[in-house]
Amino acid sequence: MANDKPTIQRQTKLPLKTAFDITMSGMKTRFWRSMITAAGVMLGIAFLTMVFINSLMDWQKPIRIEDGYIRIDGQIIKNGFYGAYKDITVEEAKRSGLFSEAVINDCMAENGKVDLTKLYNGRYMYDHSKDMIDMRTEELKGLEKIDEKFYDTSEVDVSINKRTAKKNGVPEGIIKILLPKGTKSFKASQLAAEVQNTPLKIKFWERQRVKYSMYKDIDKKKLTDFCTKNAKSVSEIISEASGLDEATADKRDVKIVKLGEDGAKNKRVSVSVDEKDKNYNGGYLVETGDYIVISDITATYRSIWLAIMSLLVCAVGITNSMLMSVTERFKEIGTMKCLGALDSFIVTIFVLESAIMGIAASFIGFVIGFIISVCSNAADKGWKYVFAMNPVDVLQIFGLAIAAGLVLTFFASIPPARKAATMPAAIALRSEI
Amino acid sequence: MSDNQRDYVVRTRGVTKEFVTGDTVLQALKGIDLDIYAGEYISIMGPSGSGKSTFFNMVGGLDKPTSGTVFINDVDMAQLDAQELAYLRCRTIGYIFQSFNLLPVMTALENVTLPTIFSGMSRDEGIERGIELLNKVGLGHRLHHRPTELSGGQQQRVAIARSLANSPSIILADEPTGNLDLKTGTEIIDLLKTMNKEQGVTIISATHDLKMLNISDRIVWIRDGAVEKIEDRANIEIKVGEMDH
Ligand SMILES: Nc1ncnc2c1ncn2[C@@H]1O[C@H](COP(=O)(O)OP(=O)(O)O)[C@@H](O)[C@H]1O
Ligand SMILES: [Mg+2]
Repeated sequence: MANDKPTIQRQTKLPLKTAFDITMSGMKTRFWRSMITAAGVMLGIAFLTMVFINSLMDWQKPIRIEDGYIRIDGQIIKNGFYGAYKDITVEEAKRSGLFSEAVINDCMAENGKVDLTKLYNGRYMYDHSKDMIDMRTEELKGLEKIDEKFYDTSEVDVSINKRTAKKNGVPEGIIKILLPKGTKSFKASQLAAEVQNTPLKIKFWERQRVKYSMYKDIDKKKLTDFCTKNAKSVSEIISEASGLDEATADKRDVKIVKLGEDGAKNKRVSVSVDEKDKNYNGGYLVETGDYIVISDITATYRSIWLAIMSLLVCAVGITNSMLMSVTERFKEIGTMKCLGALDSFIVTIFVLESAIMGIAASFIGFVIGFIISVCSNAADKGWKYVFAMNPVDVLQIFGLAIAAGLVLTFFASIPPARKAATMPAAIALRSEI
Repeated sequence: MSDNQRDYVVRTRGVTKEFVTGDTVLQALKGIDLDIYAGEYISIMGPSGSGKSTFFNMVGGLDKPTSGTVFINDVDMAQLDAQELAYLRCRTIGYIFQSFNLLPVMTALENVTLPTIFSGMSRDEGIERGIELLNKVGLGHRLHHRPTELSGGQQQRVAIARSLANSPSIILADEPTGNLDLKTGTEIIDLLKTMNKEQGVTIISATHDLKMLNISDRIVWIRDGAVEKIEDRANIEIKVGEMDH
């Protein structure tokens, strides 16, 4: 013993697992104490979760599209309530050099401007009428070849199915007209009526072609370019559709959700309109009877602001309770140093403790916030809004909640842990708590 | 045995310590020169506030002197970095405190095992060592009790077992009987003496407990941060009656 003078080496760092074990056993023993410290984090994260989950269900009352089709990329498919192009002034129309005086007069709107949508439509109708004449003429030829006995109704008005119709030479186009989706057969009298009506239809389209003949000289390619330049933006269309003013609509992230008559059956065909790159799933149709729903993003921003403020308050609270839990353990820390603990080990166990607490508390906080948010929305608006949530969005919010709680507690624990570790052991031991 | 034949475990040269609080400077130690031999049981006696604990912190590497040098096994402590100090505290010195300083969340066995974790001993070895030591201090039947479930004397026994965990060459005991009644205090003193004899560990004990006098090899009297006198045991026994504190 007397000659035993070991050389002094440097204390080796302990593996993280050791720190973890010590932390865990400490937390288990001080379970309720840790729980109270964690409660602050839990509340903060619950609130944050509520704000974000609410935003997923934060739709305004759906607006029913009453008439016509609108197309989100700014193209009109069918004459409808919502125009796709802006009205232009007569001067602009003349300056473009594309339109004759007659065309401009034909499209004059009540407000004294030129209705570009009507104009585009006129050019379309000129071509379309020719197609229709060709099509109907072809059908008439087919109808004339059919044996008249086939649609004779003098004795019985027979039912005719698709197969029999085809066998007897009824043209495809006529079959399509007579057999709308879901029907299996038509009456002979219906076919007889078609034979009567088809020449009248041809006459109708011939009249249309004359009516729109003033549009025939317009260069289609140039017209399309001109219209594209004057197309309404998506938000303009949506704002008209929902009665919002344009300025408000522009500030909003517009989402369109197709809800069936009976509400959402998780049928979220969302078209997100990103104002930055105008990148949206163009071509989506909103049909008569659909509901378009616009999320009130400004309300979400307001809540996020609230959540950030509450998180800040929460952070101060956590730092304080971490500081407390360090202060009340000064003596323990001093003792551990006497037993050979390195400063870094002491920092590690405090940071670990807060990280474990942070994760556990954020998890519980998320669950609480989620449940409250879902229940309140279900009671307020109905379950269809709950089920319309995209699980991926919910998962993202879950990740965000855990990350926020972890980051918050992690950074809150560093200053007190460092304070604890760098304090001279003698001072730590002197404290009498 | 003459002095130059014996090994020193601790030597201090001109150790001073000043505490500055605001404008006032308090000179807690006023230049302490002390040589402590290996295997010795030495008591540092002095009234409260005389600087015993401060001196202890210097020797134990828990605080740095304002001036002067502390050598542990001929190594100048001032030249050790934080990691080397931790190594020293872990393996060379064992600490015993007046208020026991057991970790409240750990059982007796876990408390004793903790220093072996810091010294890198394997878990099984550490537990074996812990049980052996707790048996030695007479607490083999209280392995899994928490400090709150133990009496003061039992807690101090756990602390003694813990201080011996890594077979240190020095035990620093700061008023080990200060919080104990007469009977338990005597038992703890006896236990320390036994460890001193059996393990050959040097015991440096700060105290104003006169029961220590009988079993100490030497007694260092401190007053107002300076060594008043150093006495061998042979001379003490006559003087006990004159002691004032
Ligand atoms: N950290 C400190 N700060 C200020 N004064 C201190 C500090 N530590 C000890 N002292 C003072 O140093 C003197 C010696 O204290 P201490 O060594 O604890 O005495 P003892 O252990 O002999 O009772 C006392 O007057 C005490 O108030
Ligand atoms: Mg003291």
